[in-house]
Amino acid sequence: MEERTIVDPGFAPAPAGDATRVMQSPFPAAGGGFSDATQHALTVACPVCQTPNGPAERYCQDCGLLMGSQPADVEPLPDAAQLPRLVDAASGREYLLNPGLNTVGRESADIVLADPSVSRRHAQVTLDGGSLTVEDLGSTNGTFVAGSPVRAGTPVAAQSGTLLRFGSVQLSLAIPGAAGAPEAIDPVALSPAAAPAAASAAPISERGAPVGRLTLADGTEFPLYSGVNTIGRRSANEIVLADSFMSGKHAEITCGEDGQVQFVDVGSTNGSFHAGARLAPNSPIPLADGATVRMGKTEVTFRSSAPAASVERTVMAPMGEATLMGGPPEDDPWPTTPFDASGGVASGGPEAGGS
Amino acid sequence: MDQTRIIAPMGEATQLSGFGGGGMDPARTVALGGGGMAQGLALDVISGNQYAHAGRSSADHALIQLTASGMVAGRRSPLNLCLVIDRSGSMEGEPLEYVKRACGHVVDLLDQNDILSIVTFEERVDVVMPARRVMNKGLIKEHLNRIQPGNTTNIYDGIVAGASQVASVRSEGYINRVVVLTDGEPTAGVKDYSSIVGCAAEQRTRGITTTALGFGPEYNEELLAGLARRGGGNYHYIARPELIPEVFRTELEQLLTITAKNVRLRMILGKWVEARQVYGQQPVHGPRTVEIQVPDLERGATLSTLVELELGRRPAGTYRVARVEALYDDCTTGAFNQRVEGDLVFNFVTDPSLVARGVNGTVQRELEVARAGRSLERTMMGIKTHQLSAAMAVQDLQRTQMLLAQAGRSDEAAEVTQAIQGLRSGSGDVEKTLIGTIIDIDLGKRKS
Repeated sequence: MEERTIVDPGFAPAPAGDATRVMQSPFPAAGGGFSDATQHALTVACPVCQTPNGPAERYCQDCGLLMGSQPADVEPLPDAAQLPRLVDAASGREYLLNPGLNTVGRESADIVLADPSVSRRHAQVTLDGGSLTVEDLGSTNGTFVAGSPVRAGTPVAAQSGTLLRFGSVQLSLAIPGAAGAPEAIDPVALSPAAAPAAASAAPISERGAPVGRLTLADGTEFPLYSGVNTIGRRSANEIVLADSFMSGKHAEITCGEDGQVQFVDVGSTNGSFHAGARLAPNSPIPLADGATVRMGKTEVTFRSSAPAASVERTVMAPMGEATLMGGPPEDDPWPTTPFDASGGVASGGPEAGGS
Repeated sequence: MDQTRIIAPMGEATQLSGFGGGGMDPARTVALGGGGMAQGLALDVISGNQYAHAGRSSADHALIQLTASGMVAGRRSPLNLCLVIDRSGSMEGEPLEYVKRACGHVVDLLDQNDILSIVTFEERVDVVMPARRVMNKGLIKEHLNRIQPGNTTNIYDGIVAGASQVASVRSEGYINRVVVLTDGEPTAGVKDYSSIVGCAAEQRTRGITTTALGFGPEYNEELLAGLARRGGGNYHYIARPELIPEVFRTELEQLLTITAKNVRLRMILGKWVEARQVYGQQPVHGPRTVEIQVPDLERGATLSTLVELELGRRPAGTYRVARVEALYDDCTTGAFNQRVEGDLVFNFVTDPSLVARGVNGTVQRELEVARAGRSLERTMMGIKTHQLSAAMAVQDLQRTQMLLAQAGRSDEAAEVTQAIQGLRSGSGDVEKTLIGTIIDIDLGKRKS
């Protein structure tokens, strides 16, 4: 029984790195407080977010997935970068529109606009296949499409680039890929990955001897070949890293004939980091021997000497689409199933199963 | 000593389907320790919908219910109570006489394990009885009888003096409360809302709660409502002097039956989850946590907290979207930092028709009640600012009254009816009553 003090210690954040804090504080720090000591054999990786969990955990400490269950195969979802959105020019804020009905309102809506001129149930935007309609739900201050008022009960179609107004809030409709759409959407989604795919279609044996390598913290090495080496989560890449925070196509390392090696982020969702700074997409940087780059949660080190022959791992060969189950979307930070036969790269055998 | 009890989410949220391997039913109730007898607090966490959208981010709700056991078990926690009484000029005559009588009743209801102090204020503060055990009841009443009306109203100094009386005694294990009664606006001393309410809020962090009793038509109901909300105690509007003793008795009854005090409620959110709002409250947000203030709970009372969440898209499957934890001191056993936990679980699916059918009726009703609270606030503001005519206000109130009645909130519905009558007869105490109804709705406390 603790002696009560004036300020309840129960809510004070526990000091980081204290392995025994889970026992002492009545409220252990949020976000999973597993200690480093249990990270190896005893932990079970969550199939969705890869977080290691103690064997007795019923739910994943991080994302809450019911352990021991397999997340159902999901039919391919629309790529987030392809989703239409409403853009607030003033703040730059984007509101993604889901397929189907999207309610717009001041509270408890799919799109929450916290402005007093917006009614609680103001309007709804319906996305049906390629077409989009706006309908007013009886709002106080009205809904306007391209300046014309929308009458309650009468849906009005809207195109990309159209200005919509809910009360005093003005948003423009942006549909990626449509005429007039802003260009700042993920370039990977827009340009079919023709060039890198062509390069990666060539089997490794045609690429010649490796001219460098990428190493991971756990010692895994990936050979780098002359020309473009694609890196990402999908198995169509030459270097496949099963990190759910990496994009399907994350980056490329180009090894030039003159020995120059360049790294470029091809527009990944979570970015690539070098020397503490986030790299701008599509801006190549030179890589020197020993340079490290972080993509998603994976840190890789570039080495300009080729790996020893025995290190070359055939699992890194592009296996083709056949091993992907369910085909997750390109740039969505959801994991490919860890039960991918190319296995080995993800943290310890999730097939070992839950509790 | 640790009485941890894990309760699975109730209602439809427990119906989960489609699990292959693993025979463990994820939605089971586990009661550890304490035998079969319900003790202390029970925690229920109810999802607004059995299902959620896997393929798109969406908003949904969590209803967190804390119920104090209705069983009479063990003893009660002793009180450390200070009565802070307004004796300004306007209290002269009947009001002050009834107050003295009411304080006398309080003395009768306490026993020698309880600590009582009595403070009066007009421009200055007088300590009629310093914090002492209730031993010589006759002597205390004698002192009460000597209270005379004074002049102006210095509420701030009254509250400070009351809190310092309570704090002057070592108060662990006691229920520490200041009960303030006033009939007017603060006219002396510190008069601004934020200082006065801030004082009560600060006392609360030290474990001293404040109840605000407003007597008559002249007091500032916004101030007293703020005192009660931030002070963690109750708010009562007393229309006539002869009702004063009954209100004191109600307050005492609550204090004498508190089974859980120092209640701390916290939600720990999983990945891809954000808490958009806690209805009726200003919660404290931490990294992935939401801390919710809860008043002391008396025997048989249930406190409902409604939280709106944004659930991010994710692979289909069952997820614990948040953990809910409550710590409290059990007043029937004297044990500190008891703990109760619950899980908020949603089954994320790709079929939107499942989500459309999976709405939880209980949570929906709570949502309607929360909206009724906001509607009452708007009506009240409309009346105050004269933007609403009495007729329009009555219309609004009638709609709200029906909503509350349909949602089973009969006490609140009756209060709104009273307010409607008040509006029609022009009796002028509408706002004082309504603000109490709004507090009740926001607090979410009901007798079960």
